[in-house]
Amino acid sequence: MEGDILNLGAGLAIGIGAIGPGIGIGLLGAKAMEAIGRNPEAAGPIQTNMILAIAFAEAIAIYALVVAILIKFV
Amino acid sequence: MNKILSTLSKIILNPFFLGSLFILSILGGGLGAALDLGFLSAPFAYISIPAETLYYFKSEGFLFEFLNSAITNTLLMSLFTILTLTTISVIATKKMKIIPTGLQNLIEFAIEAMYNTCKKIAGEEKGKVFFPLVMTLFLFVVISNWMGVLPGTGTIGRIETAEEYCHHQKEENNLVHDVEFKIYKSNGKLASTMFGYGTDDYLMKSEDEKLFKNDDIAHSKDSDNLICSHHWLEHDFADAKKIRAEELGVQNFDEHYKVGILVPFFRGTNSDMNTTLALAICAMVCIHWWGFKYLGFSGHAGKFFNFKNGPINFFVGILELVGEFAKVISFTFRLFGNIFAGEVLLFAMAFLLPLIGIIPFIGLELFVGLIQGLIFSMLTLVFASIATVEHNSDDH
Repeated sequence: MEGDILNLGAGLAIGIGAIGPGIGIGLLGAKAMEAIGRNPEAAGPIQTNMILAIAFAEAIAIYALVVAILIKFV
Repeated sequence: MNKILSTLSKIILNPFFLGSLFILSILGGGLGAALDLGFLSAPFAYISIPAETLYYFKSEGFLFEFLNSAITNTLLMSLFTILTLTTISVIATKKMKIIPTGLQNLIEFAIEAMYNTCKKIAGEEKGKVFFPLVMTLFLFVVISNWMGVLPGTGTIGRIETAEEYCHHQKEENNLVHDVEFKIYKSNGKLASTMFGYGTDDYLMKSEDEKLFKNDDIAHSKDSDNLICSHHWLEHDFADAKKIRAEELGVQNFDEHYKVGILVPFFRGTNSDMNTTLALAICAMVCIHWWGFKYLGFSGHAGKFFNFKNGPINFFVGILELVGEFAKVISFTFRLFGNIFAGEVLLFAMAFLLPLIGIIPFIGLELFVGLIQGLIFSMLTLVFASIATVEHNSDDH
């Protein structure tokens, strides 16, 4: 019983935690595409900055993942 | 030779061949185990967050207390990474040519690309200063990530038995307060035992399958499936096993319940949080060193301890100070989380779809490894260039 609730908690932690970063990365990708479409010469710097910003958004999903791993295994 | 290759690729790319391989892997894998098939499936690997220890150092004397440490598989892998990088750079620079070819060309391309990025982001002068650290971090992270995907990493190793484990914990750490040793029934394929010390639980896999062939109870940690449990401190391990063998009605406990965990010889360096934390601390120390160097002591420390412009700016400064520690944590967990999650993903796919399921995910892991290396080095560069610029130049 306790194990079941722990598993559920781990699943919910990463599941809910991945929603926000998912939306954020989607927005970043969309805006970067738009920017590249408007100004194809600036594709290089836009890509670099997009990857950096995605890394920040993704970090939050990683925090959720760490919490899920801690719930599951520790 | 070419003819053989083309015939081979024709066979491999044949839709019928691929389809039958796919069906075979579904039926033979972990999914097929529910239908009593699963003829190809391996036991699901035990996932351990801390790196497994290969060798313990035990030294006597007060002065050598710091040597009481262990060689872990991730440490070994990081040493191999360093060796690989050194070898590559020596080979590439042995016969240098004005017009580079081959390996020298590749290395020069990578270094030039990163050098130009450094100069573009941090400026001509600072870029030259930041470049060595940024490139080192990039190369180390990327090569160690890629070496973690090599076949054999995480799969080839030795079995550490329960006795060995307990012995190590007792000898080296004096941490064994109460080891609980449990054996669970499983779904016919494998039996697992679990024993923990402190808060850690260790799941161990039985090599003996026959005993559990007829038990179709799903593998779980429920107490219904518990068939053996004892506490380490109650008896000596051998005594306890003798008692359990009598209770279970078997002659020799070890013959029927041979248990152990796989300790791989190699494991991806960055799936150990110690490595990523060390990299993050090195990067942040260098960043602040440059901050002090370019802005002077009061200039850089003044960003965090701001007494001049009223209480609000003081609290903003304190928040920035907290943010510097958050950067270390986010560096650490971003790299660790990505690489560790990738390893677990590969384990899971190898378990669910043996033969072919792992192939696209290896490609994904190579990509993730490159991107994580890029992110680590780029963030270091960006943080360094932010730290060396006066923050509050706009408020007069």
